[in-house]
Amino acid sequence: MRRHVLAVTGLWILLTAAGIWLTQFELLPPPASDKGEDIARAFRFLLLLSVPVFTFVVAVLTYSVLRFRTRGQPAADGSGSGALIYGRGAVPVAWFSITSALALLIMVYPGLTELPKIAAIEQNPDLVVKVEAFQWAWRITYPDLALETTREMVLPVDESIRFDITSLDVVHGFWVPAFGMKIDAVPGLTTQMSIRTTTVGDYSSDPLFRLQCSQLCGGAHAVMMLPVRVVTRDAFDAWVAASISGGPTASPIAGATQLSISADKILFSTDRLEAPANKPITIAFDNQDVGVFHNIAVYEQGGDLIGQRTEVVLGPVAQTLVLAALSPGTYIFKCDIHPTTMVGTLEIK
Amino acid sequence: MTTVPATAAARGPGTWAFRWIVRGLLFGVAGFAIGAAMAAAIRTAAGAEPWDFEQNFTLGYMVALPAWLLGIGVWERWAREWLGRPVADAGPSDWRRYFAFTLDHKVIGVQYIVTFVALFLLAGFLAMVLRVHLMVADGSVLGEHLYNNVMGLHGIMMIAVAVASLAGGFGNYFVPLLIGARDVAFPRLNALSFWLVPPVAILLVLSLAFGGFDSGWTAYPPLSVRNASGQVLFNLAVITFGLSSILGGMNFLVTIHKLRAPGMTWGRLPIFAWSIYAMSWIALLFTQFLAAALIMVLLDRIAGTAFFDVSNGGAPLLYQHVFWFYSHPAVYVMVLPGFGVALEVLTHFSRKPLFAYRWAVAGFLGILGLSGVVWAHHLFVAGIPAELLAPFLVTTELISIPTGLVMLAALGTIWMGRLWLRVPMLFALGVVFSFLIGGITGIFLADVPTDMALHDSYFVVAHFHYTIIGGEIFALFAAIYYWLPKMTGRMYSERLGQIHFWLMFLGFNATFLPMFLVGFGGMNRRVASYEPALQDLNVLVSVMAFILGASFIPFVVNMVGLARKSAPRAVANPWQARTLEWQVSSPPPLENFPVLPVVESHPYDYGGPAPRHAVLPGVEPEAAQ
Repeated sequence: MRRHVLAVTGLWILLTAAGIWLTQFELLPPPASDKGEDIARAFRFLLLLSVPVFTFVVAVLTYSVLRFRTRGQPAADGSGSGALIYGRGAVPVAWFSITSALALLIMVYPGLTELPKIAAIEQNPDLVVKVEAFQWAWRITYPDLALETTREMVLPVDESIRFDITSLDVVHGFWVPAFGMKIDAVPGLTTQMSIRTTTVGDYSSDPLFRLQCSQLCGGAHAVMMLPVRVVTRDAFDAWVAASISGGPTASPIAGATQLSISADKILFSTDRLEAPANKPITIAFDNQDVGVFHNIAVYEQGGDLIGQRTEVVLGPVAQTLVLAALSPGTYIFKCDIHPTTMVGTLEIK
Repeated sequence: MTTVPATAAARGPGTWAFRWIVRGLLFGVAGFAIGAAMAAAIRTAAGAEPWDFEQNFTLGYMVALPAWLLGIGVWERWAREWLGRPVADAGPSDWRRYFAFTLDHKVIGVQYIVTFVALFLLAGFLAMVLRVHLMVADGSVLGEHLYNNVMGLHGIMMIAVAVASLAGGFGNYFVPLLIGARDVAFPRLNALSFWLVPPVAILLVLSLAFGGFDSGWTAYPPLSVRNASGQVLFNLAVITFGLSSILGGMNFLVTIHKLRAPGMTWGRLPIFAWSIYAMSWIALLFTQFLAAALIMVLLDRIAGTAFFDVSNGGAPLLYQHVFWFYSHPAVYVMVLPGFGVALEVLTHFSRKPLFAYRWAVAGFLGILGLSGVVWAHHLFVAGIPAELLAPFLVTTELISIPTGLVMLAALGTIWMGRLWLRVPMLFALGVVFSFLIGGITGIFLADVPTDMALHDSYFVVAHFHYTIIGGEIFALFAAIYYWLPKMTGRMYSERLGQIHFWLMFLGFNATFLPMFLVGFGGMNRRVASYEPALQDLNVLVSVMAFILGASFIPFVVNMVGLARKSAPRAVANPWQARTLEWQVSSPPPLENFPVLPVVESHPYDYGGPAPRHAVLPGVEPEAAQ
């Protein structure tokens, strides 16, 4: 017995040393936020704790299988049994005490100590970013800068940032892998997350810099992604200035007639649009119906589709339909989802 | 065997094997038509269009389900007596009884096992489809919608397998034998529990025809309130399955409390029976919360309630609490019977008393006690109030204490034993190793800070496959290889079994260990497409998954081989095990024991002073051979 205990202890120490050596290889990617660093610290603590636990069981398993195996069939009379150990003595008591201490004192330690920091919400951050999730895109608003974008999320480095997150339809998840943290976007609720950015980064060179929906939200969940750029303050200010002067919104087609229409309560704002003949047309379609699918498309009187139709997506969303020049006449525009109630005429003169 | 009752002749040899199932289906379809027509009539009377798919379907199903049970014969005896017709209760007694409503717990056990092993292979095939899809990063193979549906189907089917294969199958077959009973306490209820399963399978497959369910097996609203109508079928299926689980759990509890043989004290109860006992309390107490959550979703869809509709005062987070209030304990519904099988096999094949038996039982009961107070760790990033985080962090870490006791029993049992490494033993050792990884990675998810990084990533996918495949599926195959000689009276090929184990064990670890790295790399779960940087790792995972999938080919060959006339016969007690099921013939007689056994000592006292666990008074031990 003593020989076996010594041997398995040796094996355990050997495996543990190997395991500790292996932990030098980083598993979590390098964090780009202060809280990501806290999380990495907690991760490392638990990793070091789990190595000896894992190797203990593996050592006993391996040693037992190699050392105590027999080939013969056991005898019916009970002879040839293993050692008569019932495990009623001090061993289970010791095991229970040690595992209880591990669980109650050590395993909970990194969580309980880091938690107040991790969960803390900054009341006066350097930058507030409002995040609205909807199937299947993100709308990023910078309330203090009167700036809104659905193309990328740009953040200044070395500043405290608070995200105020909500959803307009189903449950989504706000996750930038580089920052280490995530929190769900819940309809009817504003969830918050505070971080301080610590490194510059860009989705185009590091895929961890992306705002990824982490909660299954149907259809295009996988591609509900927004590139993230963390830049210097100067670059951020330059980006803001460029955006406010008309950068991110689609530049209108030269010489096109610009029409606009909106949808609300499953009705179009008008049932009649007018445009001159022989000029391209853009129709800015503003679907204001929260959680309702709409699109817009233009048809010949006979029913043939003209050009492209816009994609059927849940509101609220803004879309633009671009049409080539049309000859004079009366055309039909409608929402393909509600063709009987959301329909109108497009007069070309 | 002399187990054929006289009623077999009354049925006649020419009776078609599937007549009861066909009658059930016909009754079910008729019931559906009646229910749907009722809904149409009510709608018309209310001045609405007669046909609203989700309302009419739900009401149709509510009539179809009891009609199916009526057709299959659940109330046959009562109905005949009520109507003054002759009562023929026993049903068929030859091989056709496996396709009919019968009361024998062993037949019902086999029905469960075959159904759920088939379901396991099918859901495993879906996993192969998913891995083929994920070999390219852009999601072009299946497309998003189909991928989401296949993923949801794989998930819910495997959940069903993990919940019911060991408990419903082997629990049904072997708990009465292990405790020295002739049957379960409520045989008719037992059969009813099983025959609730086919409608579940039909609904889940049928749901694909109505747009499927792209909300995964967790069905979070508001998504599950506004997606395709297949969701309604999913909800009805899972509610039905939950009913089956509740009834089964109740049956086991009464059976273990009331039907133990003389001398079978709680201190001598075989460990598998203990695990089923603890599991049954969880199934009985918590499954109703899953049904409640899904019924609320269903009512939001068909009755205009607004439990989860924010604009009408609803709260989407409510669902997540109620759902996980069952679905976390459900993990223990899956793995507790797995622990029981593993300890059972480990002790018999180590030829040693089960180490720290009472502590292992305390572990089971501790898991039972704690299972209801840890659910919110699934909601650490869901937007719950911050004050809830620390308490649930602590309770979740606490559950490692009783689980550690089970681990202690496993390690102490093989220590200084004489390990006979036959196929069941290999799978039981596989349970210990795999669940170890599942448990340790669970620490990272119980810890709120690390969970915030790892939640909803592939780390979670790898973690729960380690716990469920490790804790349930490996144990399922340990149980199959351990008890199959008893059930069939035939011996499988040891060599094919060993090939199955090694392919499965290596393929499993080679699939899911790299999956942790995929999670660290920032890949979130349930996505049809992903960042191209992660493609190499995903191809590796897929290829290894195909090896895991291929490991079931030798298994199927082995099982089919049992049907050969030349398959070797199994003796009554091929493992020289002490527990009661091995003291009767293989397969056991209809009434289980020729006389009721008397239990004399602990079941696992290998090498101890008591020469045997139980006696069958008046029956010579040789007679069992």
